[in-house]
Amino acid sequence: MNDVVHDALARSQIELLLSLDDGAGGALQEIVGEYLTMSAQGRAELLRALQVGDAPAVGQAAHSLKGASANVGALALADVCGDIERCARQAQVEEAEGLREQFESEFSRARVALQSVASRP
Amino acid sequence: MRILIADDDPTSRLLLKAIVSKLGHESVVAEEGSKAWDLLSSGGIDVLLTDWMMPGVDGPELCRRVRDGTGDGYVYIVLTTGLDHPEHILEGMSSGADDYLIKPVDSFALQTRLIAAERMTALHDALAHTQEELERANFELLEQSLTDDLTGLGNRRRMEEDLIRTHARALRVGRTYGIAIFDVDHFKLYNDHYGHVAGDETLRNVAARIDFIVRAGECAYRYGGEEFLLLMPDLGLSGPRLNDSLLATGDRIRRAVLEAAIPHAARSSLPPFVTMSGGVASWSPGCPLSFMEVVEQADEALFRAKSAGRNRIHAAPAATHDQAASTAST
Repeated sequence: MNDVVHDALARSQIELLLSLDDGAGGALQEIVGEYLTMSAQGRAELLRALQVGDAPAVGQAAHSLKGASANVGALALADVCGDIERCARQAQVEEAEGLREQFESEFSRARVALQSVASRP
Repeated sequence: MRILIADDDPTSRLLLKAIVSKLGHESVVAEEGSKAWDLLSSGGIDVLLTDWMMPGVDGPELCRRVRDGTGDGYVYIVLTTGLDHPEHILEGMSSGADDYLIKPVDSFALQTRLIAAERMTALHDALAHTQEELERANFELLEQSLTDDLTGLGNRRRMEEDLIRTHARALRVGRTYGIAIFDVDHFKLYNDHYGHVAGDETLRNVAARIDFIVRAGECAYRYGGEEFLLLMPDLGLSGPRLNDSLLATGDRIRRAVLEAAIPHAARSSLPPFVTMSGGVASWSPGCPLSFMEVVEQADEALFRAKSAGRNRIHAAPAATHDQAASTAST
């Protein structure tokens, strides 16, 4: 596993995904592929909700991203999403908005790492 | 096992599906609670792996529905939830979940739950099977306790229960019922001559004749030694026509036994076959008699049939209840 992957993704979760089809990698690629699609939509929805200050929608979007990110080992991203979700549930949209930059940075890091993992032969 | 995965997150569905398949189980997936409920309702699901938060029907609601439902087998429920809401776990378990898993779910954790699930569903199946057997055994025991061993007809206990029920119903909805009591003629002489084994055989034979000839709704019982009782509920007649009808029914049964032509060489009177005497009585709306008194009336009529030469049917005096009926209606 290269450094990019190592930093952004929990090794244990990637190993779990690889073990699902005994290292063939098909299951990992399928789940990561699904994640890359749904998380792009989830991010767009999260940013939209933050923009308009819709706390319930922020909470919902952050919750979905949190769970999915944890499934693919993107734990740092999952943590930020969890923080945003908590703020939104307490109707503190401004605090959630304050986490936006951190979210964006973790999101890109995870994405790059996952693309690298998924494209590996 | 067949495992239903209910989760609105596509990556969770794929992950759980892959783990379940790796563990050697079959899976079906639902992306929302109401679809999960549809799948559960159609049966065949052993384990439900459900997310806490789903649009529409959520995890706890799904748990409650499964537990309230009248499904055939036991569905083992494992709730999947995030670590940050311990109160969800408690609520989920109270709603009917058997266990929970913290997301992201790993295969080892799920494997342990599925082992428990397999044991639990097997236990429930065994329990349901035992319950079924017990119910059947209970039913058979009850049947036995109400059946006369020798003849297979209802015994005295069943007769009393049916009489109580028939009388109560007749009182409540204004129905008429009839009772006939039969007694095998010269049965003591028969036993003395042919022996008790043959006597029992003849009682079985007579009972079979009676049972064969009773109509739908009527019921025959072994009243005592060589006495039989026929209960005829819901009769539609009254007055002399009712009496004629009861006498006709009694006579049909008397003839059926006579026509069996079971030899009875020990009796002094003719015919040289086993015969029966009978007495009939009835209860109609307005009649002040209890069911036991109606039975006594039939018994008195039977006594008169015996005195009049046997092998015949007598009726209780019709005037008794006609008078009572007219008294009550005025």
